[in-house]
Amino acid sequence: LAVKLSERQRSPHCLLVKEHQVREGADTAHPPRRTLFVLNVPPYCGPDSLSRLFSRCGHVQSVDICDKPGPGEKKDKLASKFFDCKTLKGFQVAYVVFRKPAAVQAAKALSQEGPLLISTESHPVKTGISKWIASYEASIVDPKELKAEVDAYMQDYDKKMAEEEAKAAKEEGVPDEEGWVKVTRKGRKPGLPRTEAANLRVLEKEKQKRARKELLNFYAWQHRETKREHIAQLRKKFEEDKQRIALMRAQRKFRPY
Amino acid sequence: GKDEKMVTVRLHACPDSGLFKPSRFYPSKNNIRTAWFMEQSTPKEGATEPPTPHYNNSILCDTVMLSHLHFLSNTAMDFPGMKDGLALLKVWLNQRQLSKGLGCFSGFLVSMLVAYLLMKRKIVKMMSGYQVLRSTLQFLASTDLSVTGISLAKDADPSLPVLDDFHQAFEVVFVDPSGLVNLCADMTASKYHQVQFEAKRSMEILDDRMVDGFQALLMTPKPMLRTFDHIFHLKHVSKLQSTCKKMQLLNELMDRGGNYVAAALPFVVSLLARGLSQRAQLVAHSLPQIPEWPIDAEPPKHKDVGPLTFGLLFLPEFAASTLEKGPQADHPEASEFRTFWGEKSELRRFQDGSICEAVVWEASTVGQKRLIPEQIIRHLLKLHADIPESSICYTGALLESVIRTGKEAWGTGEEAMVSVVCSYDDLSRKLWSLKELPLTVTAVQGVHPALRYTDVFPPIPMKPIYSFHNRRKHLLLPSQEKPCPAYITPLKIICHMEGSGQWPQDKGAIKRIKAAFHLQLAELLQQQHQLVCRPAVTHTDVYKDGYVFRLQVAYHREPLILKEVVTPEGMLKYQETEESRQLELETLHLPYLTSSLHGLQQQHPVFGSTSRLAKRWISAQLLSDSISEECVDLLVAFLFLHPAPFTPPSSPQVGFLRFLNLLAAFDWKNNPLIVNLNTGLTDSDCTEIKNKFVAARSRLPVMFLATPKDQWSSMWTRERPSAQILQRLVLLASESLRALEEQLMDPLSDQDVKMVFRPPLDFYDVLIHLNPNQIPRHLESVDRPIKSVSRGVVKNNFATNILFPVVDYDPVQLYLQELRVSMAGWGGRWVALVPGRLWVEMKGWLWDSGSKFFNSRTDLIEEACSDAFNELALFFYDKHGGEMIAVLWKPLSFQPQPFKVSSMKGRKVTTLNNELVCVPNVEAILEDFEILGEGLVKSVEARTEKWTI
Repeated sequence: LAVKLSERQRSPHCLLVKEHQVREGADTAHPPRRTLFVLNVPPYCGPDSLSRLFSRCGHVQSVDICDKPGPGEKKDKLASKFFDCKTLKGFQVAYVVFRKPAAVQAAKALSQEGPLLISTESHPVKTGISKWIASYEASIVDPKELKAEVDAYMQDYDKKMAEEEAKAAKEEGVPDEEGWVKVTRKGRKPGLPRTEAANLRVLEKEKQKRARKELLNFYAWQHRETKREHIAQLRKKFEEDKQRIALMRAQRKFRPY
Repeated sequence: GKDEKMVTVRLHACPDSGLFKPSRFYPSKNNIRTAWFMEQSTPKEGATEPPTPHYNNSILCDTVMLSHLHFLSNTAMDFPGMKDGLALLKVWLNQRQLSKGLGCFSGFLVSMLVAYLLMKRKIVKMMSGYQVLRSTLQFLASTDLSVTGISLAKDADPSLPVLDDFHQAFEVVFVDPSGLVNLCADMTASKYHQVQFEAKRSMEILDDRMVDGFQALLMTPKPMLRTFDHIFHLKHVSKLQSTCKKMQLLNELMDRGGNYVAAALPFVVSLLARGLSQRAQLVAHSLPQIPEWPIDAEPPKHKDVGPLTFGLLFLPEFAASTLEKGPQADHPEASEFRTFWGEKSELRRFQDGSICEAVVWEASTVGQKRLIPEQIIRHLLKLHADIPESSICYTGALLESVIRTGKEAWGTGEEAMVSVVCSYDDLSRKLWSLKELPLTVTAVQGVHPALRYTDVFPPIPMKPIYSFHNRRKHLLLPSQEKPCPAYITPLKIICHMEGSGQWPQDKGAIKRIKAAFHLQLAELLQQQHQLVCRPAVTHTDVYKDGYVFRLQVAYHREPLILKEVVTPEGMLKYQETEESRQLELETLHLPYLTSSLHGLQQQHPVFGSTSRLAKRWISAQLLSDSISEECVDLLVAFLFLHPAPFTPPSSPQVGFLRFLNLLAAFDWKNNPLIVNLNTGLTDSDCTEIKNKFVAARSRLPVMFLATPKDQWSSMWTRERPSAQILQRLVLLASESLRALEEQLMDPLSDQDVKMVFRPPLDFYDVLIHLNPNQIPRHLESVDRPIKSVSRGVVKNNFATNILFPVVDYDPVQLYLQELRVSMAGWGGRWVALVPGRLWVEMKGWLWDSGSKFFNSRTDLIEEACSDAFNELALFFYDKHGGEMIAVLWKPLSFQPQPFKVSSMKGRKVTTLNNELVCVPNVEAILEDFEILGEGLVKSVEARTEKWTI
């Protein structure tokens, strides 16, 4: 399927289309038979223009653009306007969901016609300077709006934290069904924090304790062992040094004249 | 062996020992009659003939040659260390360009010196070569032969001349065993001082355990251009004839057999040394070398020795002072001072009430002040030596034109940098004292290169012109029809907030709290200090004094929280993530680096300019996106912190030359580059770093920089540069260095030093030409555009209550970003990558510097194939006003690939041998280049001669 941005362009990109098939499992976002799988979507082609392109085959319900094919996850609409916004760029794949299955077949037959135009008089696609100016404008945020959102989020967060705390306080010292009591940092007898650093510290202490108890020169074999180890170490070091000297010699380019 | 070379046999004709009477040639005797020399027929009556010590000495030299040989071979008998030591000493002299030419410190001379030390029992026959070298250098460093000469003659024969006679006739005195010949007859005092200086420096290096003394002393050549801060050439030595006339040097001329170069040189050098006495620690000159000539041709004239080169080594504290204070007006020395400086000298009254003779040099900017020695030299040589200014070719600041900003008045931008820093200091004070903040500000730290004086083009205070922009409510927007507005760099500042229990312990919440702080900071600054602010999610932009500062709030525990991982067993672990690393880099390490380098700049005032030149060169070679700015800053800092065997640079030019040399000559593969900032590393640390480096080489970045705060990870070079980019940098550096040195050393050429700042373009596959109107930094390009367009700003720093200007809007960068992103992943992951392979291939490449500029294309491409990135094209651009983007295809991208869903990006399907394959849709991609950059791209030039579709 050939597409062009506008009339002026000479060589088109090819979109590859295919009916979306799922092997197993229900892909709720992309129902089979109604979904068209599109490969090689050029970077300047957004969901709007795609849906316009395919609307000639039938009513388009939704368009999903991702950077690699995969099961469509339910988009959480919670993502805020200011934070964690992702932009997809480059050549992508798209899932076009039609109302009716017939439209998919119609779309597959589109390739016989001439190249499609992404940008038309009525719906221009912004690229280049105009796009950047627009995105610059978009990057300037309205302080009030931002403040409101931050406040709302923080209230939510505070509430959540308070709830958690209340729940923890309620469970404090209360045994569960099997009779276990959870030891937390709070309460009368605080347990150790469960962090890696704390664990390491405990291990280290343990080791020291054992080392203090151990007698080093008690048995004859211990003596022999240390000697042997010492010699092995020396040997190893010697070998390493030899290698290093060889390396140094190899890289030296002594050409004073 | 295989090193066998042709042996040259030199025949010296020398007279029999009994031919001349030695007493005829005492330094006070005359052997050339003035009348004969002047070709007059009758000698003047009653005139005493002047002594001709040099002439006498040269004849004596020939007569005693044989005895010297015997003397030396006697000394060297059963003294094996002497041979080794002499070999070392000769190498040492040769690396410093001291051992060739007229009046050199030759190998013969140094052998005689060793013999002298043996005689004086400073050296004993048991010593090894190293000890001989050390004691000789020690002697050279501590003895000034131009004041206290030495003699090899054993028994004091009363008939022979004493040392004082020699001192009267010669500048440097070292008398041979016969007691007649001065071995240093032709040497100027300045040359000896240079030897002495080098010896002192070398002793310091030998005593310093942090430096590899062998490498620094004997392996590093010290050409004049890289040794001295400023260099100037005397284009035509024939001008020295008039010098001889002016200084009335007839006797010397006669003594030297008409060799006006040798006659005038000592006087010219001492003149300069006097004129620069407070500013320069060393004034050195190159040694005139008489070229060899075929036996049947005419011997060369005196003017054939080529241009003479002088080198100046400055004292950084005084070199740039504009005032030369002389004696008080009523002192007898005043008139002498006046004759020395000529009409430049004038009476001045000073603040302490004294009235003194003084010379004031005109210079308004730091860049011009650095050139005061040039003014002095031109003035003195014209006044006393009759050398016209046109025949002096001074190379001190030729390179600085590429970092000069806009108008002449701004000089090299050092003043602009200082005013930025002042403004920043003021802002940080205001932030500290901000009232009504819920948490106090604990630290304000700048991270922008301008705040460590190393921004290539420092920001200039600007005020927007409203009519130039599109206005939407209270916003200024770039307009589509007009040229792109000037680029205003946001100067990034990290603002650390006090820690408190109130901070949330969750990533998302911290982000929001930070945003809230940004909002509040903006509001408070506006209320309490009337600054125009614009808050955003990740920062607040503050418009102050015409600069835009970008405040970014940091919380010291945030990187830690980002690192937190809870394992399935409920254990809390800290794991480095990309995000936390980035944040740590930005809020912890970068501020530290910035302040350290800021301190370095205070010690070495030309550090900033050197670094700017280096960065300018890298970006001019289109590689600025492939190597981090901090990495370049550190490399330049290395030159200042570890200058051995040189002295720390005192001019940007010499610093830049050494930077190129460092890039080209350092063994990146086998050695870590240790930059000892604030001397935070001890000797044992360095050894440990080196050992660990060797052990873990294959896992470390290709360019490994270690600093006291970052000993093992080399954080500034972790991702960039890649092996092939480093290879290209090394190649470009060595070629640029060669070209530049050739030009700077040849005063007769036209000296277009900008040549090394123009990139070779025939290396690239596609060139995207840009529309100059839309390049906001077009004025910064190497070859400045002839006509410039209005960018909608005026220079101004007293503006309050205005609309916020357009900040950080550079269409070219946006375009590049878009291009890179859209071409990434273009080919999928079809390059099979063997992890160790990169290293195997690296073996051959790094040091193959014999190849020229352009023929390494194939190597680079081969390397590129095994690159870890799966982009199919690389984009190169000069961010300082480049007019084109260069694109390099990766060659494997043109090979047909089997059809796969994941590798279909930007490709089209064709059939090959009845199989479905896909190849890149090149025509469409080229047109995409134009579409993505609509309005910016002028044309896309595909250079198809190197690749076919």
